Amino acid sequence: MSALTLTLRETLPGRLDLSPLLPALLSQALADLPKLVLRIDTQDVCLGDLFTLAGDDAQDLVLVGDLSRVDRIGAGLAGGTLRVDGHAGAYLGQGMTGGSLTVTGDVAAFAAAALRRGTITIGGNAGDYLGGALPGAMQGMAGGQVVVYGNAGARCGDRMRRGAILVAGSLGAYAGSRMLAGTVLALQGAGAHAGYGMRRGSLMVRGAVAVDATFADCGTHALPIVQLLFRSWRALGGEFAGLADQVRPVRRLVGDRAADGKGEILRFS
Amino acid sequence: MLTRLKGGRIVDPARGLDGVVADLYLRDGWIVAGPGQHERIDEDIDVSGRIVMAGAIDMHTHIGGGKVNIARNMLPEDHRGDPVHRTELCRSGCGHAAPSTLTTGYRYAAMGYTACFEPAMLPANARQAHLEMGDTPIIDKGAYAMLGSDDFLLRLMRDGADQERINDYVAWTIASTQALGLKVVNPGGISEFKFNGRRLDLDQENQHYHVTPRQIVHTLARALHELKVPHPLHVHASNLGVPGNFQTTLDTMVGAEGYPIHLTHIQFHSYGTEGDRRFSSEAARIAEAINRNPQITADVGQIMFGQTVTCSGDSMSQHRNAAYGSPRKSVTMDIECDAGCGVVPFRYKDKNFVNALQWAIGLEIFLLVEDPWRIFLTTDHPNGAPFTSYPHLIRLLMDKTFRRDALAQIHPDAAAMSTLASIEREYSLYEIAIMTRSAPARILGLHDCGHLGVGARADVVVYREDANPELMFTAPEYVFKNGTVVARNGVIVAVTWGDIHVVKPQFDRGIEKSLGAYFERYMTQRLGNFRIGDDEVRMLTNGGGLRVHACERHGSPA
Repeated sequence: MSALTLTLRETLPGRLDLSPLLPALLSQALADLPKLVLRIDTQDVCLGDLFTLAGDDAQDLVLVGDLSRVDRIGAGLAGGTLRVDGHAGAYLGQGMTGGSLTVTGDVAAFAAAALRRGTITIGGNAGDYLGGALPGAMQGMAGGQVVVYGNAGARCGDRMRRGAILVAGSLGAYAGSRMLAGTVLALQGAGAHAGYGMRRGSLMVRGAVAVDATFADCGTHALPIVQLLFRSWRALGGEFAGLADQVRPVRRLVGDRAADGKGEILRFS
Repeated sequence: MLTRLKGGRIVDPARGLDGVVADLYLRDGWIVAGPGQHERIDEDIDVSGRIVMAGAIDMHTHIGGGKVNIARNMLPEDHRGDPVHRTELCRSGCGHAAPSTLTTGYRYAAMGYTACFEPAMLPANARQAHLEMGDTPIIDKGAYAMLGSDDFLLRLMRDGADQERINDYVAWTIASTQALGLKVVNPGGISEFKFNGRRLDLDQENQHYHVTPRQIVHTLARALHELKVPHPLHVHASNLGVPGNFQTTLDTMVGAEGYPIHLTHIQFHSYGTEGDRRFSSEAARIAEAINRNPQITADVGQIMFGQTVTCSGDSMSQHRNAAYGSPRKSVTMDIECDAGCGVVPFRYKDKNFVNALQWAIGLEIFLLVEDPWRIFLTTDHPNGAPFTSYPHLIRLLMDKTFRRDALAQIHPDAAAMSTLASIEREYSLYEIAIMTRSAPARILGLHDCGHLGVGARADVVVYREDANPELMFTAPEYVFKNGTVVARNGVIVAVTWGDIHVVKPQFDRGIEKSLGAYFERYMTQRLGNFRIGDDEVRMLTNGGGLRVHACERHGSPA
């Protein structure tokens, strides 16, 4: 068996919703896949008209092409692997409950929104609301791990409940906004209003971070938990690999005291 | 255009017909006796062997008004989880517990319902409620205006105003808001909540106005009786959901002093305090009281297990329930000088003792009230469950084996505390037709709905009989609304716009003098802007009509 590979034929005229793909793979024969009805904006189209298909292993799915206008790739992924060779659109891996999803390029907003379990790896940059909550939802990402080798946009980890978001680059404004719990790491600083409205959780930032007045400076500490976390991320390679090489004391800022105030921003260098 | 439904088995309790094989003739939206001389039958539909009933009527379902819209706003997950795509005919929509207006109309019609009544239209929100109801396709609509915690009435009662003046105010409210009846919700209690009260018993004085709930129920029940409004006072009694509240419910029946009242979602008002958990069923005592008092009617407000959202004007009880919300969010609000509302999403669980017993209590009431003309099939949509669960509920009532199997699934302690296992009764199709058609039409004073006699609207449902009533009632073979086939086998085939049902009780216009001054001083709009005229309501019905029902005496006080 070889990886089931879908290659985009040509540039899309509008935004494509790919969320029906995974349920269809579970419920129907592979031969029927080209007839699967998808929607581009408000128009119905068949999957076979947009993609060429090769391979037969649905547990090892590969999407090839510029999928920056394809939304909800890997929505509801429950197991197996899915790789995108190229960019991906919004809501990547929405509500994923398992498996592993890899994108080599950039992804748009709401990647890993409402993630439950599994891992998402993004080679390029991520848009706003990475690991955030779906519009109006009470909780964002509630488990699993997201690794970004580029930068992430604004409101990374919005209303996040559990799990880890690890970003080798920088975070935009309002990183960890309204966080309930979980861990967000950035290795090249974070934008304005970091931790805005966070109730619990940890926002770990190497480099510059502007902290609001509603965070209390609790001094510098060498925390064993931080070293343990760094060690656990060694296998991710790149910028993450060297973190555990030395003891890195952290400056602990507790807040947001305008919300519940049990969260923390841990700055280190 | 004359249509003949040929050879169906007519179940029409209003005329005592139980499965009589007969032809039914529909002409131009009405049921007629038969073809005139030389008249041609334009369309002949063979329905032999099928069950033919009038369109079903849901007399208590929250389908419009401010609180439903709050529920919609508050529950994006409810919408995401249940999207409805547009078809050639129908527009898109969404929502399981709080569906959009369009989806509500389509789903009701597909199930064979042709008239639905919003039970809690706050006068201050009446225009919004009419806009939403007008946007609900196919089915007929109507609403009960809500009084009883409003400042104006309580001032009148505090100051000892005479009954005529209160009657004028009640009639003015019904007429100005284009309502079909009047509802009281936690009488005086919503007002008490505004003064930081958290409980108001039937004989406890509201701390600000020094008026008791008993007085409010009695005064309003009497007002409707004297105004000859067909539907008696629709009472959401005090102490909703509080263990031990059955006594309040029994006292409320007595408190009306013989004036007819309708007790709504009575399941939530039939709780005792027996047992280790201090929560028990008093369904038997409540049912016995209903059986004994012919002037009392009730709808059940059955709960079903699963996700829903509770929307109520009873801000006092919703504030209490907010802690149990799932997902954990809620809205409790104060609305002008009228009342308030509370919206709390809720997930009823069969393994939860309290929820399981609530489920059993509702069914016990259904089965222990002997007269199907005085007990109505509701889930208090969406408070007990969405209305789409009605076919399942009907099966629970009609099939005791199915009911016992369901009882075996719930929390064992709740099952042990319920008498449900020992109740043999099974509802017949005829009794289901009474409680979903004939009886609601009678209690609401709708002479041309809920039956298949000559002169009735051609709202007709044709069912294929099935050993499983749930299948039968989910997707009727034909649904006619005003003579047009609107649904076939659960699929909408035509979209029409239903009427709005109202009553116009007589009153002395002099009341507007003091009301005008009151509106100037206290309300956010002027009296002239508050009133909804006939032309406006016609416009709001989106192409439907305005149907005014006569105010006639509906029986004397017992």
